[in-house]
Amino acid sequence: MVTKLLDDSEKTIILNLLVNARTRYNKIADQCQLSVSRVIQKHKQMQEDGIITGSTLIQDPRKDGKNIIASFNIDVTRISSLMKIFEKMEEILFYTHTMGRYDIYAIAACENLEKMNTLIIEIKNLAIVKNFVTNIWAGQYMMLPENIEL
Amino acid sequence: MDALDKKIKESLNENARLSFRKIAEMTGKSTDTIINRYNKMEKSGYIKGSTITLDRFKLGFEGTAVYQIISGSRKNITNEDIIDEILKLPNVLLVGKTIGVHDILVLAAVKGLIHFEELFIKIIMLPGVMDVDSCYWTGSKDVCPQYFSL
Repeated sequence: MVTKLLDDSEKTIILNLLVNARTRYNKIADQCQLSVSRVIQKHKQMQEDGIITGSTLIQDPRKDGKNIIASFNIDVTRISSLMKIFEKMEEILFYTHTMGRYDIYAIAACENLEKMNTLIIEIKNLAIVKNFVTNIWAGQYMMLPENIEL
Repeated sequence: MDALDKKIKESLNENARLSFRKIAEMTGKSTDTIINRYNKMEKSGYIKGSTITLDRFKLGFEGTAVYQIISGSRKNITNEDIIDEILKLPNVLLVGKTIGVHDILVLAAVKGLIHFEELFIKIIMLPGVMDVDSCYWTGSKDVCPQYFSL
């Protein structure tokens, strides 16, 4: 693995943008003690280097009708088969093959508990599923993107 | 939310740094209208903020870990107390309470298997933690950044 070592100003740019991608360049420039044009240049360079891969708004899933969020931990007889099924399920927000206690970790979102139950039963009933553990997310979750040690 | 709100959200989900002036040009509306709509969506909770996405792998983080905690080893320690301690750990990127087999969910960026194990030990040693189920995946796959900033 080739690790890109960031200088202090690059770290400041990233940490500011992780908290608010719309942070004004002049605010970051003040913190870095660099000119605005230098900050813009460094930001662009990190995008070109593929360190910063994009930006997005952060939205409340409940406002999109995704009122119930759940984590799924699943053991299967054939990992790729479940991954293919998940690819087509719009309720599945994220899924990945994992190492450790379970084969697959997934995050799903549904409009209500009834629909989440239906989804859980549908997955549990798949012949390839050996073990299925669900946790429903309770209330608000805390996001700490700036907690990353650069 | 009407079509204009959706267009503003879509544009900023593609590039959160897009200027309101540019969105105004794209939609044929005034910049003031776009700013008002954005502020309304923010005020009503549709928009919680914005963030950038990173290729964490390029920054030395080989993967992402999930720690699912079963609490209850001490009666006088609440889940909130455990979460307060978890928030002090570097590289923890998301924390939330869950209902099900596990009580607390933690997602963290990890530099490798040794780091994954170190963080596991730190979490399982926290007062009030009874058990931790963990798993890990390599690479820098985004975990639905528009909802989880991750």
